[in-house]
Amino acid sequence: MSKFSVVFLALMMLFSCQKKEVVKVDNKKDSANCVSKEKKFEMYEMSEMAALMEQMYVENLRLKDKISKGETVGNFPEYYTKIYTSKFTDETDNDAFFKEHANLFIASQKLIYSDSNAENAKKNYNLGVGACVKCHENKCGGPIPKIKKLYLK
Amino acid sequence: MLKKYKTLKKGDSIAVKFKSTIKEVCKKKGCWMQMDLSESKQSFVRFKDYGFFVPLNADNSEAIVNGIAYIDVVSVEELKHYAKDAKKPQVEIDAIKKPEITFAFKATGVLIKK
Repeated sequence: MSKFSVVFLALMMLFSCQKKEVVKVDNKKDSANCVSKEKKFEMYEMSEMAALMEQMYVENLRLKDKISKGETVGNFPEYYTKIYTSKFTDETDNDAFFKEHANLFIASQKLIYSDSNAENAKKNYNLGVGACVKCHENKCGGPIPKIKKLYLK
Repeated sequence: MLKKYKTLKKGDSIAVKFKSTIKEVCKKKGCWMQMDLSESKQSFVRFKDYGFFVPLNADNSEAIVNGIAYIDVVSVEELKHYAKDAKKPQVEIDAIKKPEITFAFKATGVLIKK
């Protein structure tokens, strides 16, 4: 009788183990199905030029604040000239139109720092913002509403 | 949503949230997308203050957008730019000659199903 019990218990353990294994396999199968159903999204990674534009935007926000408070504006940020060398998201945008407007933009930004007396600061600053808008109207209109918020009224 | 758009005229806007399928996404940055409105109409969705983008491969995914719906007239230059973003062939880009009245949407938030 005790021998029979041992064999019975061993068989029970064997079957219960096999059953668990089947469940485990099924779980793996389910999770594999879930993964394959999900789409792996690809996000845009900022190019050098896009990152530079963001930096210049923040710099102009600071400038707006300083000019509106009548504070001194400091020196022209030399890193702006990276506009001539930064890598584009789409290299075909680096054309004659862009090069011409990059020159106009740099000239207008330099003017803000070289002619920053109270009378001209606001006018020069708004001309600088206008230079951004002019170029974006032809190149990439997406950021224009955001850029227009830089204007000093 | 199409019914709501049809009640709008230029200058009107409504705050709304709607669910639909993404038909097309800007392939350069993900800075705009087209949402299906049925009857072959689409809503042109851009994102508030250029503040966030959607995945470049979100086409055909279901999405919920929250923001402002309005009627917009898109210039020929802009239409050409968007066609370039969508990597359309040059012949198709050159064929754009007229401004287009669009069902526009400025989204403050987007939820996309994976």
